[in-house]
Amino acid sequence: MRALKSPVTLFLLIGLLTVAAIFVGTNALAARAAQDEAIAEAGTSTQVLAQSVVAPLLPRGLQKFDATNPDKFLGRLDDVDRELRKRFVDVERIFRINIWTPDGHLVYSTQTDLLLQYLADPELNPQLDARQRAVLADGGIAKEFANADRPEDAATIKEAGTDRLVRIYTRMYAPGSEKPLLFEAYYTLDELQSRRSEIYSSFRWITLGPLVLLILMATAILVALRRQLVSVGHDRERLLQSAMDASDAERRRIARDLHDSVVQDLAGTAFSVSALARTPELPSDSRQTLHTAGSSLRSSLKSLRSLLAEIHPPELRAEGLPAALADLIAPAGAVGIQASVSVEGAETASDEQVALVWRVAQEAVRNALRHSNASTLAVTVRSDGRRLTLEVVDDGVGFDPARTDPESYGLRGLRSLVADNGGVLQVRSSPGEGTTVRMEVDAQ
Amino acid sequence: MYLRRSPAIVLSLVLGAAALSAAPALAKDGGAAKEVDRDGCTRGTDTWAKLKVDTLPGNDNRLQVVGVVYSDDSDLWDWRLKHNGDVSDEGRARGREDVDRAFRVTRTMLNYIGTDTIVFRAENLSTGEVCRATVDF
Repeated sequence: MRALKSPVTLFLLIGLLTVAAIFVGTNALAARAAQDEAIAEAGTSTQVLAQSVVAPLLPRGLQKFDATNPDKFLGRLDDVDRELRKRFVDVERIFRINIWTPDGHLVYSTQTDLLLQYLADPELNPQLDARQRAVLADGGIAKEFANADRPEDAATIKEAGTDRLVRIYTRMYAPGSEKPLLFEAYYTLDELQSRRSEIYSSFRWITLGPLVLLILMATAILVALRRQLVSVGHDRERLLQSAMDASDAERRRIARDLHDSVVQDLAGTAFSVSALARTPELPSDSRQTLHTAGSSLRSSLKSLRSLLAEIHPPELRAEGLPAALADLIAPAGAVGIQASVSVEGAETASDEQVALVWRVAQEAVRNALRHSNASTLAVTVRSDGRRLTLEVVDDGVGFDPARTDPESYGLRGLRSLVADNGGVLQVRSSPGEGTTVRMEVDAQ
Repeated sequence: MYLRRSPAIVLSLVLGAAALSAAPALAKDGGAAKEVDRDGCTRGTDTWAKLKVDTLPGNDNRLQVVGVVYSDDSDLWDWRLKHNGDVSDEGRARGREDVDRAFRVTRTMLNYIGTDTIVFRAENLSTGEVCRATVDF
């Protein structure tokens, strides 16, 4: 499955499947064309056979055949039988030959029992159909697939043991006669198919060869392009990493400077003001003012520390995760949200996993504070040693995932970040039902 | 001796006559027996002709027709085979030394439903002698 993610493998696979589909499709079309060609070739052979081989062998007067008195023609029919049998006994492609008079009487057939029946009882002879009459009148060649409903076809099918027969007929003249006869030859489709195979087997490889070659060449070009893209991607990644490192260093410097100067000063000032507020010698209104100022300073200090955590995340370890998450939810009180943090079983989590948990929690908490209008917010981290789970749950207004893209709430990029670490990020919400952001990664 | 032999000769004659009389009945369409006709040709010569008709082995739809003229000379003969009155084949032949100065014509014919009347006629082009054998099969 991993190999399928490679675009080259995917291209090769799709390419080969496409080639296979084209190959099968063209084969089907070629087979049909080849069958048509084989039948057309059989038609031409039939015409040549009728006019150049059979017609000169026919005895004079055969065209005057009188179905009511066949005795008068038996000698000539013997002659036709002897001559044609001699010539067609080894012609495997032709299964049966019939010769009909224009008024629809069978005067010769290599299926002798049928011929004898028709000679004995002229009523058995079928009427020639419109196409046969048209060929007799206008010449040319016509073909029809054997139809079991036609008596003479049925007899032929029975003897051949298959209905895969095609009947090709054409016009011919006995020597010295201007009255045409209809010459019919039955070919088995199997024989034609073998001829068809001869015709298109060479084209099959001509079709396949260039396609496979094209796929192989395109694959080679794709491999080269992919290498080039990967190389460019690595360059971009390095540049981006450098930019991020520089930005990170700048953030770290600002955060450290603020922490070492302003935060320390504010903490000292808040401590002093609070201590002064407890001095009994001061008037009570002054103590009250100082107490309020102290509270305000501590609140500002808390906000500043949250801001510092946002500007540059602390160097987190598992043991510092609860405190870092507590810093994240510190601003919740200012917007009227009662927030809580609970961490259990995450002591063995790696630094990378802890950083990932913090990063996802930061985004989820920020979204909750800005958009949820919630009254409670719970950040929970659990690990059973195999899976590490983070849940950020609020009871706010929620949203409709079908109408609002959850990614627009700042989680864009987090999902791929989590996926890169082998985890899954889910956002569940519905209007009025709050929002749950859940992340699960492998803790092992 | 004469007295001993006579019953055997009589029995042979009776059986032979019975076999000959049964043969035509069996030789009709679908039968297995063959039909033979002999002709002494023109009186006063040793020439005689034979016509034999049988179905082809394993094929009841066709007949095998054999016409033979034992002429005891090397004269040229015109021959003709007719099937129910229509000429089936004809040709010219000469008796061969290696087969007792006889010539033989073998042809197949359609085994028409009903009676097939086959006629073999040969005429000596030198003497005008005519042989004619007929078989109803």
